[in-house]
This record gives sequence, C-alpha cells and structure tokens, in this order.
Amino acid sequence: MIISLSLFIAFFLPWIIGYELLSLILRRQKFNPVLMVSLSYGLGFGFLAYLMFVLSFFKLALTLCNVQAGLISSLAILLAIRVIDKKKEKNEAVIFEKKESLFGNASLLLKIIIALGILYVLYNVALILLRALIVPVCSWDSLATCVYNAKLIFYEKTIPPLKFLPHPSYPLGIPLMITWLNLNLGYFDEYYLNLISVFLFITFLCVFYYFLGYFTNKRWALLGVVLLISSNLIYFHAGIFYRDLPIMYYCCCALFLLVLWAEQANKGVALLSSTLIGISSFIKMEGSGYSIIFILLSAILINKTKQGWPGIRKNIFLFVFPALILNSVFYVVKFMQKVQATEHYDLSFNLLIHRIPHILEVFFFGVFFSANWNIFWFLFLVSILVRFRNKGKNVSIRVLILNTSLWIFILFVWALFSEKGGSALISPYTFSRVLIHYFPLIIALIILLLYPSAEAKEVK
Amino acid sequence: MPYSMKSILFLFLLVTCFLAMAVTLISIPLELSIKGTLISFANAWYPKENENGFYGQRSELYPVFYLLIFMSAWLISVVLGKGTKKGRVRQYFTSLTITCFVFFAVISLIQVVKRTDRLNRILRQYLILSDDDYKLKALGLPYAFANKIRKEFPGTYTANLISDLDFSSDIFMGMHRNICYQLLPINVRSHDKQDRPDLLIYFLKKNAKDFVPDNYVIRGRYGNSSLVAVRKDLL
Repeated sequence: MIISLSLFIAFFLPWIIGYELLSLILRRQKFNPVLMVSLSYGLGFGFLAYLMFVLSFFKLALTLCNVQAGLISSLAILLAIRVIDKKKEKNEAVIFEKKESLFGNASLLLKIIIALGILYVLYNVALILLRALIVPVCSWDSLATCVYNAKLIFYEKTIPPLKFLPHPSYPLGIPLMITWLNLNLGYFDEYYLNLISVFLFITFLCVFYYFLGYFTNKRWALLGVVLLISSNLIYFHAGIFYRDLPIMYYCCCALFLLVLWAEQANKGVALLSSTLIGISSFIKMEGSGYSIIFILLSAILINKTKQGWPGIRKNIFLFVFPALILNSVFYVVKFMQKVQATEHYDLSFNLLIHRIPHILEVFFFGVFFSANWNIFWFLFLVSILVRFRNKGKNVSIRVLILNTSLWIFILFVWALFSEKGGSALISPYTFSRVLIHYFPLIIALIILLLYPSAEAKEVK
Repeated sequence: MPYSMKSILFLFLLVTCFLAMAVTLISIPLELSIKGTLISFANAWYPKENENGFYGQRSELYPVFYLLIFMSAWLISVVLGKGTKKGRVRQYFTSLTITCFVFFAVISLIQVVKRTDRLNRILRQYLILSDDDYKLKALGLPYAFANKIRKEFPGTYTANLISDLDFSSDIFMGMHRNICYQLLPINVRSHDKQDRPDLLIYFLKKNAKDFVPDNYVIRGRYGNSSLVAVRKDLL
C-alpha cells in the first residue's frame, strides 16, 4: 500500500507539472486529452531532471523533501500563471484533432483485423510491463553507467563531481529520474525503476498514434503502432533502463511536432518541439547532434512559410532559443568542472578510407540481416520504390526523409572520422542501439508512403 | 487500395501455400526435418535473448526470407497479372508490399509466441525463487560477493577493489562493473583514488592477506582469495 502510494506520488507530481507546463506553452490551445497526458509525461520528467540538477548545482542535498519542495513550488508558480492567464482569455481551441472512429464503416473482416491489432498492442504492452517488474537491473550500460549513477546519487544525496563519475561527459537526465523514483520509495529498488521507461514507451505509442492518425486515419495509425511494437529491440528496450528509448521519445516527439507545425504554424507547438529536443541533450549526448538537425530542419520550414522578417525572427527565436538553453546547461557545468564536452570528439582524418567497407558492412547487416527490426527496413525500401514518386511532394514525408538522411549521414561521418566513438559505433552492439533513436521515423514513413491518400490518386 | 479484403485474404492463403512448399524444399539442402526448418526460421526472428538484447545477431537465413518475399510477390502478380508491361510492373510492386505485410503477420505471430514463452520462463523462476536467489541466478558471482560484503558492512564507505583479474579486459570488465554496482553504497568507482579509502576489497587475489597494508585490518574473509580490510582509524 505504501509502495503504491509512493509510486503514485513519484509519477503524479512530475506528470502534473508536465501538464501545467504544456498548458502554459500551448496557452489558449490544447491537444486532445490523451496527447496532452502523453506529452506531459516526458515534459514533466524532463523538467524534474533539470530541477534536480539545478538543486544539486546550488549545493542543496537531493533528499525527497528538497526535491518535493522544488516540485511543489514549481507547480504553485505554474498554477498561479495559469489562473492569471485564464482571466484574460477563456477560449481553448483543440489543435490537430481529427474526429473519426476506428471501427466506423468497417466490414466485419476489417473489424476483426482492427480488434486483433488492438489486442496485439495491448498484449505486448502487458508483456513489457510484466517483464519490467520481474527483471532486475542486469544489462551492461545500466550497471556500468546509467543506473549506477542513479544509485550513487541516491546514496550520496548529491551529484558527485563529474570527474568521479563513469563517463563524466554523459548527461544525467535518466539517472536523476531514477533517483527521484527511488527517493519516493525510500530505498533503491531494482525493479520499479523500469516503470519510468515503460511509461515513456506507452506515452510514445500514444503520440505516435495521434501523429500518424492526423496525416492518415486511425486504422493506418494503429497499423503504425503495431509495426513499431513488433520490432524486437524496441520491445526489449521498453522494459529495461538504457537511455536509447528515452532519447527516441524526446527526439521523435520533437520532430513530429515540427512536422505538425509545418501544417499549422502554431507558436506553442514550435516552443514545445524545441523544448523536447533540448531535453534530449540531457538524456544522451547524441541529443546535441540531433538538435543541430532539428534546428536545420526548422530553418528550412521557416523559410518555406514565406513570412516577413519579423515573423521569421519570432520563429527562429521559438525554435532555437529553448533548444539552445537546455542544451547548454550541462555543457556549462562540464566546462566549469573542467570535464571534456564529449569523450568522442577525437576527429581523425588518417584512418578513414579503409574503414568505409567495414562501416557499410555493419550498416547493411545491422539493418537487413538482424532480428532487431522485423522486416521494416526492407519494407521501407519497398515503400520508397512503390510510392515515393506519388508522395514525394508531401511536406511531412519530405521532412521525415530529410531528417532520416541527415541522421544516417551524421552517423556515417561520426563512424568515419571519430577514432574512439567511431570504433564504438561500428561495433554491431552500439550500432543497433543508435538506430533506435529515430527508428519510429522509418515506420512513420512506411505508413505515410503506403497510405492511399486522395493526393496520391491525383498525382497518378 | 487496389485489392479488396477478400482478394487480400485469397492472396494470404496463396502465399501461405507457397511458403509451405518453399519450407519443404528448403529443408532438403539444410538436412533438417520440416519441423526443424520451421524452428530455425522462428529462431531467426527471435533469437535467444541475452541481457544485452539482440544486438548484432545475424542470421544467414535472411537472404532466404527476402528471396521468398520476392518470389511470393512474383507468384501473386503472375496469378493476377493483366494489362500492359507498365501495369504489370506496378502490380508486382503492389504485390511485393502485400507480401511484406503477410510476412510481417507471420513473423509477428512467431514473436508473440516466443516473447510469451521467454517471459513465462522468467516468471516461473521469479515466483519459485526468493528475491536473493533470483538475483543470484540473474547476476551471478558478483552479486553474491557484493551482497555478502554489504551485509557485513552496512552504510556508506569508500573502497578500492583489488584483484588478479584484469578488469580492463573485455572478459572481466562486466564483472567489475557488476560488483561496483552491487556494492553501492560502498563506493568503489566514484571517489578520489588518491585518498585512503575506508575499505580495501580483495576479490580473487592470490595470497590476498599478504597485500593488506599496515594501517588496515582484515575484517571479512570469503574463501581463500577474497577478503575485506578496514582502515584502522575507523575501528
């Protein structure tokens, strides 16, 4: 009973703060309730991690009492802003909402298939949840860095000087989230901490579903979710604590929101996507690299809106400023503590050409000959072959393809020019984990390309 | 969609029959029974899990799967093939997409069965064993060793871990990380190594007691080659 209550508080407090923060960012607009709750989760836990980091920076002990006080004060401030804001304007518009039923107008056979799809998703989520609750921390990175740091912070009640941590340049977002959960429990639990990851995955599935649903329909969106959950590596990572699935949540949500912004040029959405990509840099170092891709893509999209200079300036501010601030927090602290910005910044131009065949081999086998991804990379190629001619002009597809290409390009350049980081990347072990970060884009592209839209028919 | 639900169902059956035939033919050069071939196929889509995931596990059977997909698509387009050359090419690609989804359905079914089976096995151990035994089975010797020390030295300490094992090598690095993690709040990795630590933990160190400095006292022995020494001023 006490454990249930502690867990409830551990999840509820950041979640509700995330919700209030999201409402503040979106101002007089909102998403539908499921999407609001799903995005609030990531936003709230991101906020929590930064708050704990700041508390520790100002030499406040990371005890339950201090962190709770920090959270409750933040909540009070957010609520006060909301009350003042509500007095000014009461209308709330729902953005990106499509009202249609999953089963409406479907034949019996299709209804059965849809029901099986829902059952498949729910069953797999149940497996992930059960697995998370019965498998203790035993995977390599968890023991070596991620959960190790959390356990250390939990017992030391502070963040030790970065130089004493394993991989001092690695961000502390995830360890701090785990520490928070265990502070609530009052002891370091090896099982419940996996729940953070499980909920991140479930909320991501909701965001993914609504994103796809907005550009296609709910049936195709469900198909997308089914495809995503049937990838073995995603399924596996949803129930353990590595940082690859959380960074997938933040980066993909940010990108989906950017694509949605291209549709409606909504100020709040721009700010939210920029905030999420900023938080990703506090989850894993790659987040900073992905922020650069994000800013580049947002610049392209801003340019397409053909606004005057004041509009462009405002949008640049919305997309760049939060991402830059959130990115820089940890780098500033690393600089102050004289810790290297990254351990993998060892560009070397000597190695290189002879590495290319090996990189290509790892990429080819890791993508097409591995049980990690079902047959989706193959299906992605088929979709491109079959439908790209018809759908290539679609802005959302173009943005996703551009992001995927830049991502793979960065990975390739990193593998080629960085001696240490590159060697790590082209080991098949690391490579498959890095592929998780933007893997949902591959599924999204399959769905968007194969969806038989009216636009595609016109081009035919 | 160019096909109705009924024709998709028909194609599904067609592809299934083709696959059954293909599996029978493939089992001959593999020198396996049909059941054995099916098991190797299933394992290729959900290999034996280890704690670090499915990373990098390749299977030589994947080219066979892709070949089967291409051939099934070709079979469908031949059965339904009509019209101009351009139309047939388009039909082939559409068939290819549908075949991919048929394969996806089959693979997903295999995965669900294997995921359930795997979890079932973990769950049985979890329910039968006590928490300590269960963790011992999952985490092995490092857990047992660290657990003993933690019970004997409850509280927060700094410590050095000394061993004959080369912890910088790939083989023993995992063991080192595991012990350090399990030992917390006894802090081995994250303190100033220049300081005199509170504890010296000798793990699989031959004649360990000969290496204990004068200002430390032996307080715990674990077999012949493992012991813990405590700094004298802490006693």
